[in-house]
Amino acid sequence: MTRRIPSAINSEDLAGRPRLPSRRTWLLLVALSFFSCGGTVASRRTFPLVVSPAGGALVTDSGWTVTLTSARASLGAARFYSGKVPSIARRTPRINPLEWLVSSAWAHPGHYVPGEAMGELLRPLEVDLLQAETAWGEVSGVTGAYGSMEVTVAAGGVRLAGTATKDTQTVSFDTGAFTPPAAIQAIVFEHQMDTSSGRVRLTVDLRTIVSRMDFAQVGAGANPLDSTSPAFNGFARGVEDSSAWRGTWEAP
Amino acid sequence: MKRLGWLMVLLLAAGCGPGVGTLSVTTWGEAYIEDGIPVDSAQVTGFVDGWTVKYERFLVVLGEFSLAKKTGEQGPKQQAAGIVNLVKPGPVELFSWKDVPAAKWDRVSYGIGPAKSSATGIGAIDASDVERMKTGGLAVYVEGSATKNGTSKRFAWGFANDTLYDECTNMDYGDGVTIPTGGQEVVQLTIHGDHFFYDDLESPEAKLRFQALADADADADGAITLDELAAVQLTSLPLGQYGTGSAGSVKSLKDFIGALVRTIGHYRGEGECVSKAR
Repeated sequence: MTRRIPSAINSEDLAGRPRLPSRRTWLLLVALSFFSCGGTVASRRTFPLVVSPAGGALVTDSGWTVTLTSARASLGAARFYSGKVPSIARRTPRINPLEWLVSSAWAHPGHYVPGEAMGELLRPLEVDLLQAETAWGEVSGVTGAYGSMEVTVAAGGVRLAGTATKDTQTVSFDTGAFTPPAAIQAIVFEHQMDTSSGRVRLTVDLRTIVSRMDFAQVGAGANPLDSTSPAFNGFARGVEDSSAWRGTWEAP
Repeated sequence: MKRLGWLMVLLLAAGCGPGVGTLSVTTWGEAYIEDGIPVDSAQVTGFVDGWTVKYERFLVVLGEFSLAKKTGEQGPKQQAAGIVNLVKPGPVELFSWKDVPAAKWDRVSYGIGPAKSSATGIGAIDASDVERMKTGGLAVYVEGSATKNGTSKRFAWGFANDTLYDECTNMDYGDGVTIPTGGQEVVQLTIHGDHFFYDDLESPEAKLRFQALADADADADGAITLDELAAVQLTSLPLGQYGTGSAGSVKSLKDFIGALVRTIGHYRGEGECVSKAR
């Protein structure tokens, strides 16, 4: 990083003797250095976090139309970080779908680096994902550049129930609870957080969560869903898909 | 008098301008490609499920090497791509440039893309392999075998992925490369052959596995084809393996390998670049 130094500091007087900066000049130097970095002192703040579902029509990759009668999640904690999610996570459709399998990423698994912790909410929440919006609580955080967040799913897991229909076949299902063994990391949340009022909305994309479920492959049964079946496997992979979760800042 | 001396120094410096240096660009597949990928052990990272892999061909089309600065200034760019077989021992020099402006070129990029007619074979590579890449429009071609407890599976996979490796950096050398005045610098475009077999696209805990690929040999003829990999949905594999992180569009083992092939390009050993699909 290049910092511009006031010329008075570096100049020599005509006698060739270095001129020592005054106390006032030192203060100015410090101030200039500070502002030249574009930095501001991080200050503590709180902001609300709410949870909402998204997804619209729920149609799986294998062509099943899903109607949910229950969608619940037991959330444990939300944490915010400075590190941005590499654009491998951005599901930006292109003309050729094969070209956006991986659009951009560090050339190595594990390319996501959380960076500095910026905020956290440790209050557990049982959320009904069929409700338009559920308040989670107040996040304790600091001002600064936010790049991502992670969500811990608590022991109650994520559980969906409803029916899936394809052609003339209808399957009633209940996934039972699935709790990912690790926090769902690398959830996109980019915002330059200052002291302005606003809130974060955590959107849970139910379409992505059910997209891999093939209700023709339910193993020993769909209600409750056989936890060794490919359909359950698809459900679990959907829950763990960090693109199914997204944070956005909402100003009032 | 002293001031006059300083003035002369300044005038001389202004008249000289920046110097030049030499840059040699090489590529290397390291031991994983030359010797093979072993079983995981305390001494070396390898397959955790007991398989070993030996490559017989590891053909890569390397081109578009470019020096630039983050300020936007563009330096020299590679004109024609080179095709190399990284199974042959030792690093291969792709090309060298004399009279590269001495500077810190902090935005270095290169491409691994489909072979065009202008591409040439470099180093110890068979003419038939060069032709294979050109006629197939391939960027990467790997051929070899995997072995475990007397069972052997062959694979021969070609990929036409067009990938730009941009903003290359290395922990030891920093961003890009610095060309010293009158000096010579070497940049190695390192290819990591183990990446084909990672079991996760995002987790830093990703491990090398082959069992799922071996099991994909549906006709049990001993050869694993890309079509057979396409028939294996990730939902048929154990949870905790072949995680896709946020790349939700990766559904099959073929998709998965196709995503991993975009991660083989590295920079000066363990250095990394931002991999961009094109």
